[in-house]
Amino acid sequence: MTAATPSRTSAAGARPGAVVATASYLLRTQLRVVAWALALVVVGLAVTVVVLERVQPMEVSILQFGRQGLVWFPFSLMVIVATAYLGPHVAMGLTRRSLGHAAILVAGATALVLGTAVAALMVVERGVYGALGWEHGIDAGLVGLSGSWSVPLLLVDHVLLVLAGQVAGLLVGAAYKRWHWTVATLALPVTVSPALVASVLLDGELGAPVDGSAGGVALRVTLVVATTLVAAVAYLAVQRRTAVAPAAT
Amino acid sequence: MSGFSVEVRDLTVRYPAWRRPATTALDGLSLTLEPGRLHGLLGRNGSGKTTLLSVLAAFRRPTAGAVLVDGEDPWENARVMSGVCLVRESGDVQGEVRLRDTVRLLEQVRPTFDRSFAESLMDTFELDPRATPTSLSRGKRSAFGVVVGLASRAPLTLLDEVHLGMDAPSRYAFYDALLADYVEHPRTVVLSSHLIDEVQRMLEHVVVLDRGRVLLADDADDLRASGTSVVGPDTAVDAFVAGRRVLSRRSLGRTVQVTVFGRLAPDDVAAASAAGLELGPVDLQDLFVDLTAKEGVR
Repeated sequence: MTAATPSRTSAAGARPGAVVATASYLLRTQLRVVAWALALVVVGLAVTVVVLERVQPMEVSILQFGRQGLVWFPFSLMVIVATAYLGPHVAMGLTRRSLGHAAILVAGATALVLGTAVAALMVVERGVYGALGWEHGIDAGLVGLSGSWSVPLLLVDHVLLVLAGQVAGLLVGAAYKRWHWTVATLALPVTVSPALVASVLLDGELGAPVDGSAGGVALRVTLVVATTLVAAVAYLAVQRRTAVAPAAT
Repeated sequence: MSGFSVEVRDLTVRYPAWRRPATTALDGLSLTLEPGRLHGLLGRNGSGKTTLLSVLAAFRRPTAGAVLVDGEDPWENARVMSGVCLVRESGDVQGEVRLRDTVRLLEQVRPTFDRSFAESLMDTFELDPRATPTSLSRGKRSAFGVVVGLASRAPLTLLDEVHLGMDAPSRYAFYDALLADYVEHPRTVVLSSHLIDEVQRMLEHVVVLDRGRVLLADDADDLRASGTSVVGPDTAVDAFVAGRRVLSRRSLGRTVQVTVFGRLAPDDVAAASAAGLELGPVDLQDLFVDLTAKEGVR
């Protein structure tokens, strides 16, 4: 063992840990994209309400039709993190473990931000509908299943939907990075399952015991959380052994 | 002495069976790189150079064998990985992120990264900090790879064909910057290059790979002194080189030029002179070509 070239701290002061530095960088990038997406949603929603106000009153929430977007848009963002970012991350002298932990932190943070933002938009939408004298019917998600308006339920629903989509994106991306595309494609039903499970359990009519009762809703939420946790662990395990091949030039 | 040491024992790397064709890139390779020296890693295309460097930098796991960098296995080893910087020809930076943002991020995560040195190198190579790698020419992308590799000042710096696409002035600026910084901040550097003529003067130690194994590993000066060119009439040359390791033979009429490998004793030199033979040095590039020739006389 030999002495390494002496380390130096940056001019800015103490160096953040690898997970914190990676997570803050990834989060800044993600939230920039999310902000643009939210801006588009707000503009689209506003235009739709203005047009409909002149045509005919609405009876159901417009935002609820964007539920799949809450799953698959964050999913695609995380596929990029798991595939395109792995090489540069390792090349910076950082471990795959630190990327995995940072990516999961970012998934959680993005889910909180995006899920909360969309839930808040739905609250605003409800207020606008009320002012226009429209009914704000919701038949999707946990609120639709339970049959009663509940902001906490709205929050849990939206945050979990985004989180499940993000973690599924990480796992799918990691699988394609680790294995031949044929193997990763065959594994898709498994790797994408957190997103599918969340889409079904947080929305569909399935009957007892996963019905719309309080117990049924709690069971659905538990199953989605469990599936997402297992997928997160699987992602860490798959990525930890992934080689970084030279990029195409 | 500063810098990481490298110890490799019986390293084998095989690429998976679904690759067409399945490949054994490294085949029981063993190697020691002393810390704080500038090593050249030479080898023909497909000899295993990039694979070896990828294993040292924990980009890839070995199929078999042991790799120790600064005494430890580098795979998922945060301490060792933070002290190793591999710059490959493909570049391993984010293509759509501005150069200045990559530099900022590197400053945060690499313990030895020198941002002011990076900025000075970017001036030298005329790189616009606002540009992204995908918007740069091939040579400029390589130049940015050089910036990252040098400014990281990693105790083990691995530069794999980083000159690709760079024009001659840029390459010489790179060599000057590498040497100057290496002298001021000693570390272990491994330079893989096909431009042996240009880099040979910088190298202290040379490793030659051939078909996934170490063909030769020696101090650069000793290696250069190991090759001798013998020129003269064919019968005299053949008599002189009998029993020696002949690397190559070229003839023009009755005049023959033979490269032999192995130091010549003073008696040999005298005998050659007496036979009317001309002895001359063989530079590293010619020695490398002859040593790794497919149809070589061994």
